[in-house]
Formats: sequence, C-alpha cells, structure tokens
Amino acid sequence: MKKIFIYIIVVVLGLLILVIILGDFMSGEIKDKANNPYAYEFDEFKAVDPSMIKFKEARRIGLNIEGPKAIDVKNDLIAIAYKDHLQVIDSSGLERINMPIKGPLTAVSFSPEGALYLACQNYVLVLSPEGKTIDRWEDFGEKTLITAIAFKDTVTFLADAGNRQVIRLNTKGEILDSFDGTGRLDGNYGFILPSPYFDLEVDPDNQLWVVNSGLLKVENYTDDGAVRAFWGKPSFEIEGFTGCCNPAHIAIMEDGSFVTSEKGLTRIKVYKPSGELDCVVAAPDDFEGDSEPADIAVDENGKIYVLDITSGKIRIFERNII
Amino acid sequence: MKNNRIAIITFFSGLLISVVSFAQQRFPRPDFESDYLVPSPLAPEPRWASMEILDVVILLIVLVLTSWLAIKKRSRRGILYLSVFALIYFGFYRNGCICSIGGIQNVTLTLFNPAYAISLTALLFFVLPLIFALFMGRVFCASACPLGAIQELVILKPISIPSPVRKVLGLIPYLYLGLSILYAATNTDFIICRYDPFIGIFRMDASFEMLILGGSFLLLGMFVARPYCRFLCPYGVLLNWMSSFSKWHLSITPSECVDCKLCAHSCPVDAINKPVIEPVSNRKDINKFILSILILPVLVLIGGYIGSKSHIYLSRANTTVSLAELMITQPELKNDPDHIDVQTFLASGKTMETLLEEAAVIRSQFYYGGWILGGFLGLAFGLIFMGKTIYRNRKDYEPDKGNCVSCGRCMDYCPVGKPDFDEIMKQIK
Repeated sequence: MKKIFIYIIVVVLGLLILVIILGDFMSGEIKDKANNPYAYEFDEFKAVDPSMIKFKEARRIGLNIEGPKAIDVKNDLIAIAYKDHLQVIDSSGLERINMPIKGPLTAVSFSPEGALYLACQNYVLVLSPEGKTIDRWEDFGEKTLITAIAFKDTVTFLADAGNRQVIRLNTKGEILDSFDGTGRLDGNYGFILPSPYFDLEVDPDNQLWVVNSGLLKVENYTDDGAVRAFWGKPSFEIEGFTGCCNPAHIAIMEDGSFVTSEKGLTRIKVYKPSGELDCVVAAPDDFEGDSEPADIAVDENGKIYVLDITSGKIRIFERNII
Repeated sequence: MKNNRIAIITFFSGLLISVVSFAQQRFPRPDFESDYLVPSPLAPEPRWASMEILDVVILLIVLVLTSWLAIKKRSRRGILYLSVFALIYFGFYRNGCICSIGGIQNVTLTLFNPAYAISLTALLFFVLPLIFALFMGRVFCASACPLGAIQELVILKPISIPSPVRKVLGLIPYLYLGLSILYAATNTDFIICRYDPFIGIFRMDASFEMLILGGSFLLLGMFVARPYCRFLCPYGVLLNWMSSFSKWHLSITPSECVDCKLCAHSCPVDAINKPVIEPVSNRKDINKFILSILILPVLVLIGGYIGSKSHIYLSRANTTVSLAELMITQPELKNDPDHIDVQTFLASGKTMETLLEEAAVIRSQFYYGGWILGGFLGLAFGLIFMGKTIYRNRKDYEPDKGNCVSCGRCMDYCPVGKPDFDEIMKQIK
C-alpha cells in the first residue's frame, strides 16, 4: 500500500476519533428527554386489544373506611382488611362486621368452614364468622411479614414475604415446617421478592400455587416444598408479566383458572389452568393513574372482586355472556 | 498473518467467556420482549471478594512472568502469548473492569471524597503496574493491559510518526490525565471509563458511537501502533515517569551491540533511541537550557491562568452545575413534565437556593482545579521543551525507557546470540 494512502487513512481516522470524543464531551450532561434513548416509556403497552376483554364491570361498592389493603369473598360475604379495621359486608353492601384490629393488617382469608383468618404483619388472628376472636397464632419471628393465607385440608399455608418462605401450620397454628422455594435443591433461586407482594392460593384440586414474583412465575409446590410445575413469562405484551415482580396477587376460580393482578402496568387477567392467557378482565386504562396493585378474590359464580385501593372501591366484574 | 489468527482466536474465546460470565448473575434478568434499549453500565456486576483476590494474583503473575520473559528469557513470543491471555481474561472475561487505567479515578476520588473508599483490589491494580514499571519498565503495557493487548494484535503496517508530531500528540495524555483527575476529584464523572474505546467491544454491548470509536482506534492501530497507549492513555503518563527510572529495563541486545541497525526500524512505537555522539555543549546550548529553566514558571503560570479561565466551561460537565444553569436560563422547564432531570430535582424537595449553593461550591473547586490542571500542562510542556535542550551521548541503540512498552519486538530482531548470527551479519555486509 502506498504510504500516502496510509497517511490519508491515519489522518481521517484520527479526525474521526477526535470528533467522536470531543462531540460527546461538549454535548453536555443534561440532554432533552426527546433525545434520551433510555427513557422509561411504557404507555404504548397500556393499550389492550378490546377483543381480549371478556369481562364487564357489573357493580361498584364504595368503601367508607380509608386504606383498604386486602379482600376475600365467600358465601355472599366480602371481607375487607384495612390498615387497622376489619369489615365484612354482604353482596348488597350491607355491613355485617366492622371492628377495629390492632394492625397493621396485611391479609385476610375465609377458611373453607367460613372462619376469618387475619394476618397482622407477623401474627395471625382467627375469628368466627361473627367476628369473635377464636385464636391468636404468634411466634413467627420479628422479620415475618405475612402477605397471604390459604388452606388445604388440615394445613394452613402462610406466605411470609419477610423471610421469603412459605410456612405450613396445623389446625392449632403450630409450625409444621417451611420451605423457601429452592425445591430443596442447591443452585435453585428460591423465592425472589423485590417488593413485599407474595401471594399463594390452593386450587380446587388441592394444589398449592405460590407466586415467585421476582421470576415472574406462578409455581406449583408439593407438600414438602418441591416445585412441581410453573407457568408465566416475562413480557411487556399482554401474555406475560412485566416489571421487577409480578403478579402481585392471584385468585383461583372454580374451574382452576387463575386470575392475576399486576402492579406497574396495572391490569387484571385470567389464565387457563395450563397457564395460557384466556382473557383480560381490566386493562390499565380502567385504573386511575399509577394505581396500587389491586387485591382480588373470586366467588363460586366466577365473579371477580377487585379491591381498587386507589379509588377505595370494590369493583365486581362478570364474564360477558355471548 | 499469524497475528491475525491469534486475534481471531482471541475474539471468539472472549465471546465464549463473555457468555459464561453473563450466566453467572445472581439471578436471571427477565428477558422482556420489548424494544427498550438497556443502558450499558460503566461498571460490570460486582464480584465475590475471593474472585477479586484472584484477579490481583493473576495480575501479579502476569507482571512477574512478563518481566522474566522481557528481561531474562528475552522471548517476544512469550510476551505475545501472555498479552493474548490478558486480553481474554482482563478484557473479555472481566469485561475490562477492574482496570489499572481507570484506577486513577478511584484513587483520586478516595483522596478528595471522604465518603468514598477505594477497595484494596482497585488500589493494588493501580499500584502494582507502577511498582513494576519503576524496576522493570512498562511490562504492564506489554502483556497485562487488555487495551494494549488488543491494539498489539492488530498492528499491521506501522508507520513512524515524525518526532515533532509525536511530541505534540504526546501532550494529549497529560491533558487527559489532568482532566480525569479534576473530574474525579469534583465527583463529576469518570471520563476514562466513559471514553474507553474498547470496553464496548470487551462487553459486546457497545453503542454505535462507541463501536465506531473502538473500530477507529483498531483501524488506526493497524498503521499507527498502539494509538490509545501513546496518544491518549493517562495511566501511560505515570508509567512513563516510573519506567524512566527503571533499573532492570529490557535491553535490545543481550550483550555487545554490533551496530547492525536491524532493530532501528523494528519498534512500532518509535521508542528506540539511536546512537548519538553530541559535541560538547557550546554556549548556545547552555543558553537554551537556561532559557528553558526560566520559561518554566512562566509556562506554569500561563497554563494555570488559562485553566482557571476555563473553569466555567469545564464545570458544565458536572450535573449539579449544568442543572443549576439550566434552571436559571430556562425556568419554564419546571413545568415540563417530560424533563427527567428537572422533575427529579423538584421531586427531591431541594430548594433552588440549595442547588445554587452546591453549584457555586463545585464551580469554585473547578476554578482552583483549573489552575492546577493548567499549571500541570504548562509544566509538562516546559519539561518537554527542556528535554530538547539536554543532550546525552549514546553509544548503542537503546530503548527509550519512558516510551518503550516492552513488547520485545526489538529483541526478536537483534541477531546477537542467535544461532544464525554469522549468516545474518554476512547478509548485512
């Protein structure tokens, strides 16, 4: 190669290097968002295909106490846990129980027998259907944060977000054992909970399902804590779950379908028992602004009860009848 | 050709190792199906402490081995193989971080920011190559630095840069060193990391701009050997100073120089001094030397003055200063919900007065820093000028201890001690 060409190449490359470095250096630190390729924009993902929405909002029940946290439904009764109150109403909105509780309440659940189980951060209160205290289960440790309660035969499961574990209790509230989601195997990640949302449910076939939100999956566990199956995939599309940790809450219908409630991109969806997306219940546009994730419950008739924490209402959704 | 093969093998080995290192995250990052452009972080994932110690041990072993290969064994091939290893390990596997060059900023920040403490690993990565340079020459550049290694492998047809151009371009590393210290000391930016042209290649995540920059350096490096090392690397300035005093620096010939001139054009970085017998200094030379001494403080003062006058411009790289300027010049931005920086500031609850006070303090740091930076550049320029007035008699071809990167090419060319010495000498004659 002739030397002159080499010199030309050298000069051109040298100038190019100079332009790139000086260009970036002189462009300054603060740039317009319009030029920011890393801007966190997900408005476009809020849009949902209307044909996917197969539920309609049938009713709204306004709540007269501030700060609703959790909801459960059974036999025409709706239990709502507030920061320091328990309220039970029937489907017509008539109040059955309204009692202060030394909170903060973090979860509420009806047992198959109709008793009320209230999680108060690190202890559990067992109340009769009339609201009379039957039992108090303690000694789970200071770091414990109970975020969900579920029942299988004589076993009660507690989701402990504080210690990232599921606790199994007998009918007296004594700890049988616990598991951390590793499936007793070294190298498995276990429960990853970047935020304090950790839900679990028992399906009609008596299978325990736990949300491993950091992995954006819903996992099925055996009684001794081994992972048997899982579903869920990370995606901004409607089929998957987004953000650091989702779904925030789940509920299971009589036919084994899963109802999920997500945070960030607030939306409620129904998945088939196989984990395949069935339809959308409520799209992000159905919620106000940056809403808190809505707790959900389902009744025997397939109605979905959405606790809209931001607006302070219970919103009842029914499947469209074609 | 051989170098090209090595370069290709290195590239793909690095790619494989990068894939393995990606799989070592604490837990898997969800692979979202979106077009979101994930920004590339300046520093890679944290590493176990024991693995950081392993990095230091490997650096130490590479430095010791290079010293032995350069000074005792005199093996250019060994040095080349070691540099390939360093490129794979410190470049592709460790993603170019931890890095001795960037260590300048960590050390500076430790000295100026009481809230920041340098890790022992980073400190050792900064200090060890300097200690080795003080005794053995720039063995770090030869085969421990991944930036040097990647440039070494692409040298194709190196041209010699004329001495005056070299001297002028040689001032850039001083400017870069001064700016990187000023920016680190004022907690503004780690510009050495920001403008590292090869980091995006090591991490396989270069932005288009940085890919062009890295590619340009590699293309340039085919004809101008090690352009980053010679005309940009701020750590090279420190290594140059240390290596100038090195006691056991690599020598071109193992014994007596036979003046065959074979090594004369072997050095791709123009770091071989030719033999020179200067006449005894005359009055004119002495006058030049005295002038250079007298001009030195003047250059320092002029440099300092220019540096201090540049402080307003230089301080704009600081986010606090630039935000304060923005809020003053464009107050309407307070109502722009899309301006992230302004909205973040407003959401922080800080008052405008606090922001302005903080910006004023930083700007004052830049004012004094500008004096020191300018003075330092004036001093560097003055010392280079002074060096031109000092003559040293030299009998043989010798490596320029400060600029020599100990790559060992010249040793390979030297026929002394080779089995076919007589044949080579016959051909030369």
